[in-house]
Amino acid sequence: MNWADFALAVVTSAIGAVGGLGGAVLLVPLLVLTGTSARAAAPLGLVSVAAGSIAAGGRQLKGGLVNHRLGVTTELFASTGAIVGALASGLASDRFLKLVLAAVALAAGILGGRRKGIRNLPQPGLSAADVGEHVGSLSGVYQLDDAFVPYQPTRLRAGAALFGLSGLIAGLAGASGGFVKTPASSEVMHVPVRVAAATTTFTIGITSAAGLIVFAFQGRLDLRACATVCAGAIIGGHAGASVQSRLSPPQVRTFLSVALVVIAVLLAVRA
Amino acid sequence: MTDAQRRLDTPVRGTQRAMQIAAVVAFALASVGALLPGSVGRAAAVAVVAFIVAAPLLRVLSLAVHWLRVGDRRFAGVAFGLLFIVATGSVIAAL
Repeated sequence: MNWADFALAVVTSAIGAVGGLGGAVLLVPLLVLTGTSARAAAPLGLVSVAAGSIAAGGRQLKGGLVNHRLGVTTELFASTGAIVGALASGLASDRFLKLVLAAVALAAGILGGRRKGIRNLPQPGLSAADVGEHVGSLSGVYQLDDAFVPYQPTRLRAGAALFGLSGLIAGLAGASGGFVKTPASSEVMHVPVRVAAATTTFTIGITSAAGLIVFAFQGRLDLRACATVCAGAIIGGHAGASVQSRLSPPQVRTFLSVALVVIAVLLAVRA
Repeated sequence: MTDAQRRLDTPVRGTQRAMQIAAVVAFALASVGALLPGSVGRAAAVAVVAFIVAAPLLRVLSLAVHWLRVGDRRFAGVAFGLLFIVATGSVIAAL
């Protein structure tokens, strides 16, 4: 067992869970900076994402925050992007992948630091019985403290394009693309942030699965390393979730954003 | 929003419990795959990768079936479409 990879997976998943950006966007660049090739690091990133999605799935469902119809619909574009990205990454040079990774880390750092808070407002008259998603629609209602907030996603075409981009990033770089998905849902499609984040946690597992299948056929999976990262990501994800209430997510996001910008610069210099 | 669209849908029954069990299974397989040498460790490593790939796709399949059952053919079609895309990508990668 590679304890360094395990430790990296634990730490990055924990930080990613607290910051709400996911751990892979930190894990993959750090793996590359510590000597793993970008081609080998990308599948490990997706393994970390898939493991984190499974680990957080039960918790997200408990709150009734996941909008499955929205997730599956947007995932049509993200999974297509992931497959295209993974196929293209098999043909790309390691230098190109490093530069893509640097751009992704930079974008994640900037977008992560700019995330906003609550946008949708509670509606009087709604109750716990109204919480959920609606048959035949992308709309739904979620509970915010003691209030109930209805929402209806808008600007689906723009959202779909961004989800396609997030999938492309996942396939090319091995980062989850969640740092694009959640802002795309909340800022572009006007889905409440908490619903957007929970739905993203659900969908990044599917995006990762689509990318990992392609990587497997390309012979890019180091199975032992995948198992190591998977175990580390599950532990880190749980640890991050358990300390989340004691830390300030905005402060962690700020730290993560600065770290990602520094990593992006290091990657670009070394490419 | 029409009355039909306001009809509430709850997640597939048992999904939350299934996800909690999936996390435990994935961790157990990953630990064995990472720690044990030889064929047992390798088999567990193969199994955990197969598991984390299959789990979200099985979740989509269960959603598709659930949506068919509640009469939401539109989103059942979307879910089956998503599985078709992943399957097509797999075939292209295998060629």
